[in-house]
Amino acid sequence: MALLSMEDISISFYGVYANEHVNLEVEAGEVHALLGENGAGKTTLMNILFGIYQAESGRIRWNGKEARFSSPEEAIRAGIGMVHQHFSLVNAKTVLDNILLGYEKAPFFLPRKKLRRQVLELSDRYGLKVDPDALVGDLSIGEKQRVEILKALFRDIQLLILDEPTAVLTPGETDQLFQVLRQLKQKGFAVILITHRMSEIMGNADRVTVLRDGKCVGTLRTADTDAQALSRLMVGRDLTPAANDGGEAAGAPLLKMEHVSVYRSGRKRPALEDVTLTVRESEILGVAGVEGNGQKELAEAIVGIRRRRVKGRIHLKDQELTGTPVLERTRSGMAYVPDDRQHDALVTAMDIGDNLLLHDYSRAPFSRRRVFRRAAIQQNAQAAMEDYRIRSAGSLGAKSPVRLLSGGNQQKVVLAREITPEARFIVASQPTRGLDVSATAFVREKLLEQKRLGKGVLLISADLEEILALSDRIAVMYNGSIAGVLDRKDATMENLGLMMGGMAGRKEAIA
Amino acid sequence: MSDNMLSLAFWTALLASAVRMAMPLLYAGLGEMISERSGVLNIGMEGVMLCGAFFSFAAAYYTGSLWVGLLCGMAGGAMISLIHGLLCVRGKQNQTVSGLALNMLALGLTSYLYKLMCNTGAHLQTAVLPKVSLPLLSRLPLLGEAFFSQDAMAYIALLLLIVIFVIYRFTRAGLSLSAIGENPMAADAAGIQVEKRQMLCCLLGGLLGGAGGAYLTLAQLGLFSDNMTAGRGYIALAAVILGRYSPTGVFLAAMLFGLANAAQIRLQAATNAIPVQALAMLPYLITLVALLLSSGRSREPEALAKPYIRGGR
Amino acid sequence: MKKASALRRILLYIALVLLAATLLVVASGASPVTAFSVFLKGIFGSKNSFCEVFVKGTPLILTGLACAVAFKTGFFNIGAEGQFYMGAAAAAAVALRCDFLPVVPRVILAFAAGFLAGGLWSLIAAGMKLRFGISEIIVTIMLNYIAINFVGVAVRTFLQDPSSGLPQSERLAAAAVLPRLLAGTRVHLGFPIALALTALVWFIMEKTTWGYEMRVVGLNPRAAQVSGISVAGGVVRSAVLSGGLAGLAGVIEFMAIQKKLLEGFSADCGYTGVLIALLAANKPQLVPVAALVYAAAQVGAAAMQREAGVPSAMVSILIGAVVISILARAWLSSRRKEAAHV
Repeated sequence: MALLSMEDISISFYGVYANEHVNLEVEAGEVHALLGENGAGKTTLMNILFGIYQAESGRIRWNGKEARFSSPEEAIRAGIGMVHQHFSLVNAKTVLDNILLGYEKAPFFLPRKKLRRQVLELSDRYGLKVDPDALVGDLSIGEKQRVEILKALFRDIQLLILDEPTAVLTPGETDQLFQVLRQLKQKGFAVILITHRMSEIMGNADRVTVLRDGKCVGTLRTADTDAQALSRLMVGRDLTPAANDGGEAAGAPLLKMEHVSVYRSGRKRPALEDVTLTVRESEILGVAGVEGNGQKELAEAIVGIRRRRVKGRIHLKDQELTGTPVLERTRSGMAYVPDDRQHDALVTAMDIGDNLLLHDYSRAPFSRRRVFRRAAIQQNAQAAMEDYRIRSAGSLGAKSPVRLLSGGNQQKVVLAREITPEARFIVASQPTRGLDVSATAFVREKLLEQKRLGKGVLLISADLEEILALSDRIAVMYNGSIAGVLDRKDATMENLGLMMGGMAGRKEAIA
Repeated sequence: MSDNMLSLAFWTALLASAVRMAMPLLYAGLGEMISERSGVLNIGMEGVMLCGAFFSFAAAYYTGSLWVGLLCGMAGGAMISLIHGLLCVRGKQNQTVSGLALNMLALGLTSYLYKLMCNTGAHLQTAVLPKVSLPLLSRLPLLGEAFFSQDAMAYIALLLLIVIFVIYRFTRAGLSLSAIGENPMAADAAGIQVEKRQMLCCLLGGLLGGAGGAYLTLAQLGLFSDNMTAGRGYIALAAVILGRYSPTGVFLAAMLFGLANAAQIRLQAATNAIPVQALAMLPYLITLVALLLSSGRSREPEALAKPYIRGGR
Repeated sequence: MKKASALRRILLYIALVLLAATLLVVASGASPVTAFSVFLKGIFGSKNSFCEVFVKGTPLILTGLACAVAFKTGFFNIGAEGQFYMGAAAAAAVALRCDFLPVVPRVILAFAAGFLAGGLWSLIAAGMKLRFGISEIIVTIMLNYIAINFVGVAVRTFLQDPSSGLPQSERLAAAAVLPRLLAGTRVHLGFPIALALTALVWFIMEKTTWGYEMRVVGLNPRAAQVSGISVAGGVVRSAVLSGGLAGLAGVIEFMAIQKKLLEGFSADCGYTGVLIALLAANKPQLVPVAALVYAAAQVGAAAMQREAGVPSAMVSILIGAVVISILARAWLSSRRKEAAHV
């Protein structure tokens, strides 16, 4: 009998289903992988199990009995532990204290010596080496993860859920992690591994359940299947007819990245590792891949937000932009449409007119000798609103605060600002996220228009459909490097899926 | 004070005076520490103390019992911090704005009510807590008179200091309460009810701050005057920082401020050469320097003054 | 439509304040009618008392502006009190010690010195925030005490009037005192200066690129960073402007009212400035309104206390309560929004 059975689980947010009639069954003593792209619903499903969300319909059976967890406490008490992608650790406290945090079975006066021994025992048993007296803030990512696992094990769990555990680990640490999971399996624990990395599933999981667009598309034994089949299930769409019909051939090289690496403080593994990439004029280069594989760092390194821990060189045409500040790159013709428009691209409390000025406020015709010229600003805003069909709030027109605009209109404001005649190269990151159908179509058409005008576009998107619809060439990012680059016509679901899941060898993308 | 500055008598008296001046700060500092370690910054501690001073005085005056007075003072302080907690913990509003508004409210309220009391024309004064000398301990040189020949509230404060120290260091509750201020998400994930505990810590901060204010009236002066706390609530904030958010640190910081105060008074009487104000500046300068030095490894709770919204950004 | 509902809200607040005021008056044993008429007579009854409103309001306008500018930029300046004193001290040092200069340049220099002193005092907190990430709230409060005590030291040492032996400076030369505007009242040049500064600050914040940068940095520092606007630059400029304005409050009070430097003459206008800025929703154009309303309430309440026995402290109760209700309302409306989403 299955240890855990989630039956017909559905949940929706703001009218969109995140999980739709999903079934999942996990046995004791098994490592069960939950595979899917971004937005497939994997984390949502586990959050339901762990009591963070409540399912709208469906049943959970735990140890044979029907169960409903309305908080993480209840789930933990029932024997379910979860290690999230972003650790829930208190940096200022010791490993021991973090493990003991919220531990209900401990007496009021913590017998730290005894508990310390128990922790060391546990860590020995499962090969999770930690120093109980070290401050968590001083630990490496791999060590922090071990603390998180110990935290769960300390509470007598039967099932351990790990959410994308290897996203932050070096290959060596990953091996160590899977050794630990093997130990747990042997000792009778059940493990659910949320991941998009097929390479890890094939070697380490017993069974895999694939989710796509909120639905469960299959549960297989890994012994009975292979990476190609899984990748087809994970990506699973027919190739969309390209909105981009090829048209103009790509021109001269426009943006050149050479051996660019981006390091993060406190982490051994760079977020971006030795990336060499070229985008040409009249070309849309799509960057596909599950989010979290370095795409954000790529965008920020190109645009100049990240400068300090960046190695390698960046050129726009003949101009070297390595290490230059954002403003200089903007003036040289770079435009950036960030994925998080409300935090990174807009000042939502300000109006449309003011937001359009974010780059050019200090130049004519908008200001002269530091004083604004309202007429020019108004004119500019009116023109932008007409060109981009931006619908404002009520009758306020260009004076509408941006926070009152819909997602689509907000994105149009960003585009109106970024896509200027001077912009030669556009980095667009998740440009249609959160937009409705018509806004999405508008944005995509705008990007195609730029290609036709001879500009270069770097399109970063976790939406494969979008990548396939718009790109001339496709680069896939995995684990901070380019897993491969293909022409659009050579792209198939299989090879894209394999690269996204880390199953292809590392290749360099050279023009 | 024509005592020789180097005589034991001088230092003993100074230390004893310092302890007395430090007591309100110790109470308020411990209360603020509890609150801040759970992530709630209460700039309104000034208002808390002022309400503690007034309500303890009024209650003591009308009932004739100093202990009833103390309880009412603590309740008065708790009232202010409860409003702060509701607005900031449940309401997620800006903690600084709330604190400052409450200070003004408390100032107005206490002055208003005291004026009404004065209008009756009676002479407003209460008794003061008597000094209780502990048998053997009070004979110790230097420390004896300072620490063991004080009033009951001072002893309670010192006991509370030990209790709070033990709770935070050795118990499960202390671990939970201090984790909330560092990483409320982690505490929430560990099953700790963040908001409830924050409200509790707010309440405790108010009770202790109220006691600190009550000390001024019931143990020191036996009367009330407008704005008598004169900024001690803000000093308590400094004491928490200087004391690096630990109970013993807060005690030492309170002692430092108390010492500065006591020295000020004696110096003022003794000599006119150095303006006392230079000495008064010192503890604040030290606090700033401490902030600078510890900025690398600041002990400030990571999530201080950040409203916690589950699942939010 | 938004304007109509905002107006409705303000009227509601006024009604509630009047209700609360009535309750406080009645609780103190006075009759509301008497109390209110005394209150109004206290303000409007005589030329002198009416002008007192502007006298008391002048430093509040400046500290209110100081706090509004700072808060708009995300810099929580609670140190207007300390900046006030440093400004006054600097102005005193110049005005009293630089008699080799003719009057007009001396006064101008005193103003400049006061502005700079306040600005630099505030910059310390800004620097600690930018460089070390230390919360400016605590630092500015500490700097308040240091400044207050610094003035205490100054008036007993290098700025002390050698002839008096009291902790205060010499008197300002009569020619350097800011002139009165209306005979028989205390209203002085400082008031129009404060209004002019209000207009200037409004202009800077709304019409110049500096103000734009400050607003962007305050509203969304991340977007500023992504666009290449320097967050540090915005914070520094706002800190200096804010501190300078508070410093000018001190300068004007020194040069128009006190005419000598002494301790404790700020009447807490630094801390009050914070609340004034909040009531004015950080809008420069509303600061004088809030400041004068507060000043008028102070004047009227003083009269009420003198003649009707109603404690003037009720003004503080009302102001504190208004700010708290603003916060409470924000809380309730966010709860309503949440419920609508579910």
